[in-house]
Amino acid sequence: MDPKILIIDNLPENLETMKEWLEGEDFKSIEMIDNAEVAKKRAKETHFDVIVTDMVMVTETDGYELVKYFRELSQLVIVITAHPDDNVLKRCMRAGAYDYIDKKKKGQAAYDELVASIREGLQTLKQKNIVYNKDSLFVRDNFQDLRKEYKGKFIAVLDEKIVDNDENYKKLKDRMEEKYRYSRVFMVNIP
Amino acid sequence: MANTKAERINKYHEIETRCFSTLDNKKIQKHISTAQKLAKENDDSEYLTYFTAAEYFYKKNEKKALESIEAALKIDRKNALFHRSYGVILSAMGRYKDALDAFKQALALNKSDHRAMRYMAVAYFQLNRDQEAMEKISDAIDNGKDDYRNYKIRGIILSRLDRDEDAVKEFDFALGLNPLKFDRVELLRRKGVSQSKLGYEREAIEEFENAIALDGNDYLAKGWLGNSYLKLKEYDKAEVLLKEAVKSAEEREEFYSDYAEVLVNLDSFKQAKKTIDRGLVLFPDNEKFKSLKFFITSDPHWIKHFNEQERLLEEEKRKSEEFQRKLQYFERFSQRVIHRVGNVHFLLAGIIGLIKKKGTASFDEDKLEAIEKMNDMISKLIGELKAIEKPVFSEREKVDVAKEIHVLQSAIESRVDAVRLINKLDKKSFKKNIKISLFKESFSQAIGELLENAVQVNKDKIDIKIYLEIMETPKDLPVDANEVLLVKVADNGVGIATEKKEEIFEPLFSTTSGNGLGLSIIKSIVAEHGGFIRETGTLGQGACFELYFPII
Repeated sequence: MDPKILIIDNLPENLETMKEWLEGEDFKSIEMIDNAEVAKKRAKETHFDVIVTDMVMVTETDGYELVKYFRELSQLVIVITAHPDDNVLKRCMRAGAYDYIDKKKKGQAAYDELVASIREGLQTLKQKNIVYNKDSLFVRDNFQDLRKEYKGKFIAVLDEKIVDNDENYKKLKDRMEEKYRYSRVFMVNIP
Repeated sequence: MANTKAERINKYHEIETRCFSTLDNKKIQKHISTAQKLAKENDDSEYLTYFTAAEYFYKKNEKKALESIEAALKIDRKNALFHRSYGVILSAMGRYKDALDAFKQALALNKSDHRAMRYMAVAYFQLNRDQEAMEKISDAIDNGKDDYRNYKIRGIILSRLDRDEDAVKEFDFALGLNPLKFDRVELLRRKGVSQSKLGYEREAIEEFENAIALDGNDYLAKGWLGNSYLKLKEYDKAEVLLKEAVKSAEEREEFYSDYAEVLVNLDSFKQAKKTIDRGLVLFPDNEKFKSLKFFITSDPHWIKHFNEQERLLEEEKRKSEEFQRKLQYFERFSQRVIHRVGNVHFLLAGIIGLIKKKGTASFDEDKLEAIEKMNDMISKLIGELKAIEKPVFSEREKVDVAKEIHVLQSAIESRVDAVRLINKLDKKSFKKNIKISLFKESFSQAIGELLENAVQVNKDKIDIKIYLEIMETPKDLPVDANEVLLVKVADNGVGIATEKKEEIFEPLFSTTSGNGLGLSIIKSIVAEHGGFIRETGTLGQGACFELYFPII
């Protein structure tokens, strides 16, 4: 299962190099976009397992907003930037980024870190719902409200959000496995 | 052992004299304890009470001392010592009239008590009854020829009566009677003061120096010594001494005003002003402070100094603000440089890494192009780094704005077929070749970058129009000048969204891959001129930058 990765950077040359590098590491499903607005639209259309974004195209406030925006759509957002101000990076982390990579690192360290971060992040995602049991608790806590809307149906929960629902468990399961290949979606019947 | 009451009374009097003859508090306490013990053992309650009063008195608790001595007097009304001590305590409390009555009582019981006479003289002296004081101190001397304190007091009274010649003799006589160290210092000092009054400044200085040699902490002697040097116009010496005296006793009006006078004479502007102002607060009626204040506020030399001071202060403030601004400017700029270089590094590192992994075969046409682009970026950065030192440290010079812009325009036109210059000033001032005071380098840089920016943002061909106008400063502009030069750069490209109009001027904002200097730096150049920049175009119709430079 190839994770779907979206990489965003202002410099097309950077995108090409990153793509080639990642492909060399056996990540085959990579999309590149050199414009934040276009990337936002694209991420809404299609689910990406990983979004790797630069911070240059936008101001500091936007950096925070951008990470937040992507985080709503994807479980793994990694910031990669040459920005020298640590505060910008901290803000990105607070907005929910999984990691940040400093482009200024010596030699090829930034590329190695990016690869490691993507691998580790995907591994973490798989285990997340088992370890934290977050989404099943979400269902328990909101059971009455959920019942009003989804009575008799199966619901799919990811990161405390209802991402899909269906009367047929098999159909829902297939859809979720197709879309969220690296996240463990919590599915349950609402009686 | 003092067995009889008479013997014990003798002993008590002896102890009282011993206490009086020392300044050592420990010794005094020891003497008093001995007396108290003796009184207790023999049930001499009046002396027990008396020494309680003494104990309080030496501990500076006059109120309790007074209570105790009154209690002692209740037990024994006929005790001359008690009456005299009662007077001493009252004197210490400033109740000189009551003290006089007490001393009279004491003298009625013991006609030859020269100490009571001397205390009376002091009380009269304090009440400014100098004639009676003179009479009493003379009586005291008749009855106590060996007590140097009597001569000291007569000297003090004589000095106040301006009979300093006689006062000096009294002080000399007292000094000859082997006084206690404390009194010796005072006598030397007082002798010096009298000599100074008589105009024997050098002799006075000698006495003050002797006093200081005996007691290095005697700030009064230092103050008077400073006063003598002031009179001799030896201000440097005076300043050191008076400063010390004032430090120890700010309440000494004469030293404080002397100090101020010395500072004025030393042209110690700041300190003098401070001292005079404080002096006027402490001693609002002091004539010397008033006249010194008048002097420093009316003397041209001083006025000039204070004006200069004020100017320097403002200059300093302005410089520090400017420095802060420059610092921020450099901070932003260096962030941008790091960011750009960081990106170049990232790309090159990637390409190098791929070659290492996959061999040189992986290096293709695309990568060569990418490297060339990075190289251009570095060249551009070098240009910016060269330029950066100029806008902030250059001086204003007269700039022929129209000519400058023509040059920039041609430079762009030679590369991009897009710019048209519309010069609204042709009719008016620019015909006369008007020159405006600007930071030439940074001005051209700002305009040039604005043009570059327009070209870069809009990848298609566009028209860029430049308007120039000298106008009255519009009221809504935060520009401190009557007239401004407006440079308007308008294009018919994509324009800028309303919500972005402010933030496009923030550092690191870039609508392109970030090759230009950035609008934030253009803004800071305009700010450097004390001007203002804004964007007034419409999204979809084109951008329009208005740069206002104050005309000064």
